[in-house]
Amino acid sequence: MNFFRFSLEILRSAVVDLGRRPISSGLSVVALTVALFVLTVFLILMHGVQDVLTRWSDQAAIEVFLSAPVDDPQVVDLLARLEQEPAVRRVEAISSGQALEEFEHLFPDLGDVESLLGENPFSGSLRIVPAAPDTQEVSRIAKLARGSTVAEAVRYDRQWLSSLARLGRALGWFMLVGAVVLLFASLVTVGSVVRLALDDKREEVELMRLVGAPASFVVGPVLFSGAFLGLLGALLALGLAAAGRHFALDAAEATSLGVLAELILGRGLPAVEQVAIAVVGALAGTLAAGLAAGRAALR
Amino acid sequence: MIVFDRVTKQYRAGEPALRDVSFHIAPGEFVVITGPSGAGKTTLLQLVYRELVPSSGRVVVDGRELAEMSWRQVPALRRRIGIVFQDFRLLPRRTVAENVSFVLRALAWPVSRRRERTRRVLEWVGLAHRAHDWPQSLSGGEQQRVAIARALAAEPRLLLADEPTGNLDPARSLEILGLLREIHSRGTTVVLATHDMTLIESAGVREIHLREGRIEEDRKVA
Ligand SMILES: Nc1ncnc2c1ncn2[C@@H]1O[C@H](COP(=O)(O)OP(=O)(O)O)[C@@H](O)[C@H]1O
Ligand SMILES: [Mg+2]
Repeated sequence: MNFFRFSLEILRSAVVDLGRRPISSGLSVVALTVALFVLTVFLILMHGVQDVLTRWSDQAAIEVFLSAPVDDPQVVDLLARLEQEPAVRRVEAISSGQALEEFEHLFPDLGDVESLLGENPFSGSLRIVPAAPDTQEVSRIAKLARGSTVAEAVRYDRQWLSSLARLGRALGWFMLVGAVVLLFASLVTVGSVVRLALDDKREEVELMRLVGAPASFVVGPVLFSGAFLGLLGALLALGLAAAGRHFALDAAEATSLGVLAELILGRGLPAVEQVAIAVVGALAGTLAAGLAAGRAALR
Repeated sequence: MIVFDRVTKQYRAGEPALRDVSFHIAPGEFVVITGPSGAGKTTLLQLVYRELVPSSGRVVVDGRELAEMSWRQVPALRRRIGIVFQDFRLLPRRTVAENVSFVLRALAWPVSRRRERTRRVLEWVGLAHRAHDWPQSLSGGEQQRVAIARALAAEPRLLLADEPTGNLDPARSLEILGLLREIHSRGTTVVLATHDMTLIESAGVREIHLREGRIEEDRKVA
C-alpha cells in the first residue's frame, strides 16, 4: 500500500470528520487558543523580565557618594580595597567637577547649573561596576562601601530591580499555572470533539473493519484530527500574542510606561519557542485525541 | 479454501451455537448454509471472517488457522473476503458510488483506479445510473445490489452473504440469487446463509443444513 497516498487519505478523512461538527471543532480550537495564548504571554513576560535583569546588570553600578574629595587618602584607600574584591569589575572615581559635567551633558536644557546655584552641588563619588549581576554580591559590596567613613550615601537599584523581578516571576508562575489548567481543559474539549467524530462515524468504522482497512486507517484520522486542532490553536495563539504585543507597545508608546513596555515586550518570543509552542499544541492535541478515542478506535 | 475441523462455538450464556462442525469448502464452490433461525448460520460465517474465534476446533482459511492470527493480520484476511448482510449496511450520508468507493479508499486505492472500479461494479449490478443518488432513495433490492457491488469492489476471492434476501420479496430475492450465481460463475467462491429454502431449488448448489448448531445434512442439490 502506497504510504504517501495512505497518509493523504487519513489526512482527508480527519478534515472531513472535523468539518462534520464545525461548532464543537471551532470551540475546541478557541479553548486551545486561549490556553496557548496565556502560555505564550507567560513566555514573553519571562523573557522580558530576564532581559531587564541582564540589561540592568550590564549597566548597573553602585554609586558611593563621598563626603571627601576623590583625592582624599581615605577615599583612595577605599577605592583600592574595593578594587581588590573579586565581585567588583572596576571602580571609577568621579570628582565633583566630573559629576557636574556629566549632569550638564545629560540635561543640557538646564543651562549652567554652577552659576545658577552659585556653587557645584555635586559631591564626588566612586562608581563600582560589579563583575556579575548577582544581587547578593552587589548588596555585600554596597555594605562594604557603606562601612567607610568617607561614604556619605550608597545608592544602587537593587530594590527596584528585585521587586520588579519578584513581581514578574509571581505573575509568570500564576500565568503558567493558569496556562496549564487551561491547556488541560482545552484538551478535554479536543478529546470530546474527537470522540464525537468517532461516534458520528461508528458505522463507517465498523465497515472499515469488515472490509479489512488497516487499524491505522481508523486511528490515524483520530490522531490527525487532534494534531490539527492543536496546531491550529497554537498558530492562532501565536498570532494573537504577536498582535497583542504590537497593540500594547503602540498603546504604551506615548505614556510613561513606554520604556518599560519596550523593555519587557520589545523583543517578543524567539522563533525557536514559537515553533515549540506549535509543536506542543500539535502533540497535546494528538495525545488528547488518542486518549479520548482509546481502544474504541482500535477495536 | 475454508476448512472447519470439529468446530464448537459457545457464547458466554446458553447452549453452544455450533457443535462439532466439520466441513471443507473448495475454491470455486457455491455453498448455501441453510437452517432455521437460530441454527448457527451467522455464527458460522462470523468464524470465517474472524469476527469470532471458535471455543474449540480449528477454522482454516486459505491455509491459515484463524485462531493463531494476531489482530494485526485480520485486515489482510478480510481484504480477501467480501461480505453482504441482510440489512445492507449502506452509509446513509454517502451516495451509492461513494458507498462503493469507500471500501477502496479505506484500502488506499489510487483515485483513478477507484473511480474506474466503482463504475465497473455498479454497471455490473445494473445500477450505474443511480451512482449519484442516496441509498435511501433506492428500493430494497437495489440497495442490496449496491451492497453486493461494494463487497465485490476490492475483488475478493470469497464472498460471504448472510441472509442477503431476508428483507426482500421473492422476485427481488431471485434477482439477488441470480447475481450471486453470476459472481460465482466468474470464479468467486460464494457462501450464502439463508433460512429461505426456496433459494436452493437451483441445481448444482451444495447445501449445508444446520440444525441447533449441528450439520444435519451436507449435500449437492441434484
Ligand atoms: N452474541 C451472541 N451472544 C450470545 N448468544 C448468541 C450471540 N449470537 C448468537 N447467539 C446465539 O447463538 C445461536 C445461533 O445464532 P446465529 O448464529 O445468529 O443463528 P442464525 O444466524 O442461524 O439465525 C442462537 O441461539 C443465538 O441466540
Ligand atoms: Mg443469522
